[in-house]
Amino acid sequence: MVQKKCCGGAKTGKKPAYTVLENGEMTLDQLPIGSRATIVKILPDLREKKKFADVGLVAGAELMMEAHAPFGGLLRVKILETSMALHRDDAAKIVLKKS
Amino acid sequence: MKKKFRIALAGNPNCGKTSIFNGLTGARQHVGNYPGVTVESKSGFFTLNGVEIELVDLPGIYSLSSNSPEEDVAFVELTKPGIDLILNVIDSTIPQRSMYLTTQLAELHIPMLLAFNMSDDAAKKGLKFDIPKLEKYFGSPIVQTIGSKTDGVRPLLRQLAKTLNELEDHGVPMLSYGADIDDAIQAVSDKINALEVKKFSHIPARFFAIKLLEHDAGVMRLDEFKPVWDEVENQIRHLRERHAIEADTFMADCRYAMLAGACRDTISMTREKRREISDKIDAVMTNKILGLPLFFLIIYITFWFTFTCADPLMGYIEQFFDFLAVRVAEAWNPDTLPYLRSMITDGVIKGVGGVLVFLPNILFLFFAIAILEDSGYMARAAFVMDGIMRRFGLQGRSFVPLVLGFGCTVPAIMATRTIESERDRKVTIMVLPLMSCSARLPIYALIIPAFFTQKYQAVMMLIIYIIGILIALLGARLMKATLFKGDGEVYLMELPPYRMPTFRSIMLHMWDRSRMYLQKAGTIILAATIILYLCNTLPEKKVFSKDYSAAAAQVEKTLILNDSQIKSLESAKVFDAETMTAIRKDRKIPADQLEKIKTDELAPAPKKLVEAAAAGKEQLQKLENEKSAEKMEYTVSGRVGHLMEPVFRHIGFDWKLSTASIGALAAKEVFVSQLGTLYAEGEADEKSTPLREHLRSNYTPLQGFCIMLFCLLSIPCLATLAIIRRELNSTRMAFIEAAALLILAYIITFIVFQVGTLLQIGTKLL
Repeated sequence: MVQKKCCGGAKTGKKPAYTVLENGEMTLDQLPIGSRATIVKILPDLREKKKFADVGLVAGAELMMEAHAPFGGLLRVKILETSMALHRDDAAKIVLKKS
Repeated sequence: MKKKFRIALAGNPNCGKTSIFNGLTGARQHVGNYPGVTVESKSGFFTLNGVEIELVDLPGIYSLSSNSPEEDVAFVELTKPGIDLILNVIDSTIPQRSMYLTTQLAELHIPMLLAFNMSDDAAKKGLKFDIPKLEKYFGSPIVQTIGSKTDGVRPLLRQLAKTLNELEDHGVPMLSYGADIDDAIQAVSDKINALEVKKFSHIPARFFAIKLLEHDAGVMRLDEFKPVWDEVENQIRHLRERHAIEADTFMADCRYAMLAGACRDTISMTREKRREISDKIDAVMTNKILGLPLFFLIIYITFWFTFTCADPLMGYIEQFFDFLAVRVAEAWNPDTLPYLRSMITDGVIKGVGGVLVFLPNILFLFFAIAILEDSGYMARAAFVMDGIMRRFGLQGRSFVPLVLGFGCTVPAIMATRTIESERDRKVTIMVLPLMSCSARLPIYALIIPAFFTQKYQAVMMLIIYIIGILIALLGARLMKATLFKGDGEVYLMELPPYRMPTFRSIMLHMWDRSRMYLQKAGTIILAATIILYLCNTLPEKKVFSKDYSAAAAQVEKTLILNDSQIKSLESAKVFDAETMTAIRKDRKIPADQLEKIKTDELAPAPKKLVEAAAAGKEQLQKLENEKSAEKMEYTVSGRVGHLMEPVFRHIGFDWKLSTASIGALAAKEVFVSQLGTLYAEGEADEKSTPLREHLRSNYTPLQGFCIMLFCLLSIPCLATLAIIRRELNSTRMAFIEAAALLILAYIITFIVFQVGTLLQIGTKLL
């Protein structure tokens, strides 16, 4: 991707990140509360992938959206019978298929 | 059989590891910190059939990687030689998750014993385990335990005794990652074996091979394995060609697949009953609308509990130390070692007492926090508050410590231990002294009524508090944008199911933390009070500007009563018989009786006498105060105050205020009593009206405001600095913090004072 150089080459915020999904797929941050889904894949730009993998967020795992925190960022997801809180930005890197 | 065993206790967070630990070791624990990190290290001792056993409680971890300081610590501990047995606690209500760690521990080939904990809950849930099959799978014996019950660890002890006898012939786990991967592991293992690394000769090469294949940061850091990196990359490339997956998470994938298979074979579920009650509570507690108000309610109750319940106890402690100081002073002849005597009574006892007074607060606070933590609510509170706090560069877990800061900064900084992210924790600690603690209240309570009319008093107070909060939040944002730049750690936190906290674990929790407060803050405070005391008394002034004792003697002389005066007092029945005897003996009215007399009801003659005595008393007091003020000016503190004046003049401080702000280092409220001494009003407190008069005649409201501003923002008390040093594990950071706050306070007060003077705001009395 060609990055536009402006403002004397200074960094201006985040660079755009696009996620193109197959039919029937969605990312974790879009999963409505109470719905279940199965992880299809983890996008390679998820930070500290291993940390997520170690708590069970790997392809093939089934999870459920439990709640959204007030004022923003955190999501609460049930994975392997445990509630985990994670950030919406990170959840956007986890691709799901509804089960 | 060996005489002594070292057992490592490992398990997931919230698996009930602590209750097993407490159940086995009782109160015989040693709590400390791993060097360089804020991970708590805990070990305990017990004997089993006469054999001494040391139980090392590793931090709760999900995996043996290097995702967090906790995992690093566990990794280092487990790969050190000398661990005879790993006791792996498994939450048997969620076996599949818990055994993920077990698969990695098994690869260490250290003898292992698995405790399937919470077996009662698992049974309720309808889980049935094929124990012999699982034992074979991991090559380790399994015992079912109920850690929350007092005798729940008994089966564990029985099995432990048996296992320790058979350590030599422990089984081999049957863990296979599948043909391809096992080949790759074997290839790397062979290379590692060829290296003959002595340091890790007790751990199979296979363990390190697997870690290298998943690019584990902890193992990649070890230079010993650098020679095999090429082989590792070769194998990874090879595997990627066949399986088309990420190397980093590859092994995690495999382990979960492996476990899923193992669980299918060995665990059956008769009825699907999830943790319903916990989920129902959470539907309310972490509700998008109700969550926040409930959180604030719970925090309010916590504070109410902490400060209201501790209040009477604090009174007792205060009384005790006053009593102690008086008794010591009485018992100690003033002529023998007079300096030491006054240093111990006025310096040490009062200083240490001043710190111990906060002990009830700290005990109650940590009691409340232990309940919130052990029940599982703390994780919810962080979840609910995160959205708001994140806007200021902090996170959900920062909120509780920040609010605690209004009470006392010391326990508040200790409460930051619940913040998992190291950077967020540091930022929270650094801004915490800006939350106006209750020790600054006497300063405001003295200044505000002195300079501001009733109408503005509450507003002024609020303004000061808000300035503190705003600067703290801005400071947090600023630090996040500069010093602690970057995305930070990933936020991934478990919300454990609610559990009834056990009384025992709460008490242990509370005691652990309170003991640390006593030990560390106590020693530092003791030293600081002695130093400050010396600064405030030495060098002693011998020659005064006037002869105070002669002046006092003169006043005393005028108070001596003649026979007719005594008679007139007697006939007027002003005093009781006992006092009259004293009066006849000393020929003067005892000073302590004067306050009890209502002069209005007396006849003119005795009234005059009583009034004269009162006036004399006042005069004597005034002389005494003048003398101590002169003494103060002569001491190190007074001189330093004079030295500081040229710099502090620009923020509206004269030498007296400068001296008082040095005293504030010991404890913020010392500012008031120090100022009292300097203005020759004796030991003043915030209710002292004469001191307010002095302030009003010497300073402008603008200066008054600057005093409050400076006291709020500048260096916190030494106890706070000591705790900052300890919690950040760095003397340098504590100094930087002190310097930064001093500079910040100076600059802001400077601007306010200069701009205020220029614009003529508050330069005249309101």
